[in-house]
Amino acid sequence: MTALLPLLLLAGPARPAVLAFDRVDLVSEDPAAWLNYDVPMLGVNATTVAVRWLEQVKVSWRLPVDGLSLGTSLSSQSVFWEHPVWAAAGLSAGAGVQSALLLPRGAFADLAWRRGRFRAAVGVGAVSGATWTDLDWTAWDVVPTLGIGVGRRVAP
Amino acid sequence: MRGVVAAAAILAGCGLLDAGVDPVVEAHRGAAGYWPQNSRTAMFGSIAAGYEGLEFDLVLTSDGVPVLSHDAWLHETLCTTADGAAPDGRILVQDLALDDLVDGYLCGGVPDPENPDAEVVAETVMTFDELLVALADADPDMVIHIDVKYLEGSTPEPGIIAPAVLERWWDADLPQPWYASTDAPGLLLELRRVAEEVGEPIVTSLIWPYFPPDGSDTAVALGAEALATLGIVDLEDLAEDAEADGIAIPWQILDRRQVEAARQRGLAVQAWTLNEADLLAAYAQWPLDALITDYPERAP
Repeated sequence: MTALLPLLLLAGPARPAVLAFDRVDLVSEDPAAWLNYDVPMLGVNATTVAVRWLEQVKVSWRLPVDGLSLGTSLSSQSVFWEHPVWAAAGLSAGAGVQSALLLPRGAFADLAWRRGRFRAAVGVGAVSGATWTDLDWTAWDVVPTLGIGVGRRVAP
Repeated sequence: MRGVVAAAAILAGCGLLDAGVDPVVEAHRGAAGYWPQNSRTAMFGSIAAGYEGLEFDLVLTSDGVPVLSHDAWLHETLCTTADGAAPDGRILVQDLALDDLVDGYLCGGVPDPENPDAEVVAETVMTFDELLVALADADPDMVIHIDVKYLEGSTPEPGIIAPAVLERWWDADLPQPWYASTDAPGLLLELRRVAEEVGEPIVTSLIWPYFPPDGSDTAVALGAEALATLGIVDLEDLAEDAEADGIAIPWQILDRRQVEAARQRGLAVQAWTLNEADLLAAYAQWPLDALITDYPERAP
């Protein structure tokens, strides 16, 4: 994370030439397994829940295309497109595809609210069990998603 | 903000759903929380208690007799020489003939620091043959889980272990459902090969990940977690490579989605070793085939 700090400091609100820091999702919408499957075990398996929380913390970067961003965590890498639906209220809708080690694995869509540095989103995700060792996209989980992130300040 | 918290609470409920599966509760090493692990007292105690499942470990002596032992060597804490002295280093079971093992060593007569409430009883090592006789009086529905040990250089080779164990089991002709497990894929393949050769059915499970006897359990667990998270290893592939019908995983790295995916593909999934009542209650809601515990009485 330390190595990313110069990039974070340089990042501004303008459209980036290549990549610019957008936010860190402390609760990530992809693949959403942590909230759905691990958090319920917090009372009995706190260590694993903590490890898996770290695995899903996602750093998002704005791409040079309006509304497009790249998200990276240990458990998922995603490309996400977001469009304002009620700009004055800070509401936007978006959809993205997610991968595991860059193997496409699922998709998700959300409705997000941003205020200042804070972003919250709720949505739905569909995740397959495909991995590089098992290229199988036949079994899918559809799960509700929640995103909670902090990042660059967005004008109200 | 309150809305976000409420949404989180609702979402977080998904993993609490009861899978509607009733996992078998297996007495790990014969309920090592109550009696010396893998001991005669533990086996008879578990049979008398009528536990749903009984798990024990087998290692071969130099004359090819399977005996109950978790490690390739006599337990360094629980076993002593017959006169009560601490053994001189690691005593490999494969270096002792059965008579020498029985005459020279006692196990379970020293308090077990890992299971402080377990009874302390000094006994000779139990043979698989003795256990098979005892199982004739056990509940015919008791699930028998035979964990067969192989460690290169410290135990005989799979080609010797597999027939020594399986032929005894089949000869006993017991009614109980059973399966064999090991952390060595090569031994699992050999067990299946022997079964197919004689036309007997077999059910196997791969214990994953492999914990080296002198390695760091935490490092192995974190490594396994990372490999599974990144999708570099896949439970179904691991089992398929070992031609196993199931996979046994430490509870600390269980991932419910992976468990569900494995079961959808017809794999059995066993979890080890859950010893607290709240842990057993929580994982009893998961789609698991077995909960392996030192304390079967704590299971819901």
